[in-house]
Amino acid sequence: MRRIAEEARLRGTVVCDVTDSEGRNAAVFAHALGTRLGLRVVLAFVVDGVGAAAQETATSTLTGIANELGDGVEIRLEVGDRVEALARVAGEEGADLVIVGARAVGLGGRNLRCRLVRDLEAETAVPVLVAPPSTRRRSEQRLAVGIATSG
Amino acid sequence: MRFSRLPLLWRIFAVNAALLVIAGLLLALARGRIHESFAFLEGVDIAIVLVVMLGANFLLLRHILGPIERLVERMRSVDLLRPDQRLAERGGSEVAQLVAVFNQMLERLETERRVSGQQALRAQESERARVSRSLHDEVGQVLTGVLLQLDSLAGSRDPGQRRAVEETKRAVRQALEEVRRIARELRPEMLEHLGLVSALTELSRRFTDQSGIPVERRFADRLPPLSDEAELAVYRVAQESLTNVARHADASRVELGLEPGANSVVLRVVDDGRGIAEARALNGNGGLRGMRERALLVSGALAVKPARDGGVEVRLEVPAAGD
Repeated sequence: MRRIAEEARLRGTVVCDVTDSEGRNAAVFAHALGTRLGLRVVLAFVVDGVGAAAQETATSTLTGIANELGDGVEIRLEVGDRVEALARVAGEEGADLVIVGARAVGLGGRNLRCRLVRDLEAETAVPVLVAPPSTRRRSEQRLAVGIATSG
Repeated sequence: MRFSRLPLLWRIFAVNAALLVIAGLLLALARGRIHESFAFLEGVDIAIVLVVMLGANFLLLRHILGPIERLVERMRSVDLLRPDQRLAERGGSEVAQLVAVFNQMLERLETERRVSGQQALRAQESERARVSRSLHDEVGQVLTGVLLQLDSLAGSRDPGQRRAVEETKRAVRQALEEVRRIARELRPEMLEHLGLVSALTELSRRFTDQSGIPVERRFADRLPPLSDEAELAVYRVAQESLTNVARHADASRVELGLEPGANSVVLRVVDDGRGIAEARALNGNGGLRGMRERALLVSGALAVKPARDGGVEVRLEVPAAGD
């Protein structure tokens, strides 16, 4: 029984927002984290409106990133408010973690701009993690290695 | 658009703007009377000050009233079947208090809904069990008795009468079979006696017999134990999903799986049919509300989404017993 529980513990879920320009970077980070910890990765793209063209672009971006990362990645295309949609997907997928991308701002890119995190934190009980932007300096160890080789 | 229908922020801003513009004009007029040489540049100065004041006024109002607008929006859109939707307690202290009270109210409503939902579902299951027993024990017995009586009449010498009796027997057998099927659907006895995997196996066999759609079963060898309520939720969601596939999906195959999750069990029903948009158009919510309700009451997570290769995927994750 203990072994079953241990095996089961390795199958958590990560929902990753790939809606904006930092989405791909966040997806690569989520995938590296998922591979290392045995987590299911769900990429979510939120379209603000029901226009066919916007949805087509979103679908192509989403499937492009998913194909790049490999077979194990699942995708969700949602329409509506970004924060609400991400919270909804996190709830429906039983997510243990939501990962969002951030942009580096300020002198030398020392600060991270991610207003989404603040709103998302209030909207869902699932913890939110900020993937550092691709422009940030990486350490040579652990997850950073995974990101560096995938990215 | 009528003024009273404008959002509060715009109404207050419009009144403030009007007052400031009037004040600016009065100031310009007064300066014009006192100093006859009122220059054009002084007018520009006043205009710039006015714009700066209006800008500051707008930002301040938005900071104060923004959370109220978000609160109103949330009040309109809140769905108790999606718990944990809360608002950040930002803004002035009164607004933050209002948001905090709203969040507390949501908490209470969700708890009450969960409790009353559980009671309603228990009552529903108990009623289903009662109807199932009545159908099986009473209607079933009566029909069996009718069959026996018809058997005794089958020996008649009149060929027309014999044919009529045979047809009646066929109709009664069909009715008996139908009664047994309804009784089985109402009360999954297999679930009580042999467990979830056997019950889902039987459910999928019956589904294939009735719909002609093959089901590929993928049940993990070892699954964490579930509470009775969680098992029933998994069974009912699988049943509803398969019913939706048979009715609306136009699928050629279905995959039914049970796998361990993160201290949980995951049910997956995936078809290769016409997809979620068309299925929804045909079926409305497709029993989605009922499935969500069941998932919520056992603290599960339900996703109904497009499958990777077309069709629809229903994914239900329920926590293991004692988790």
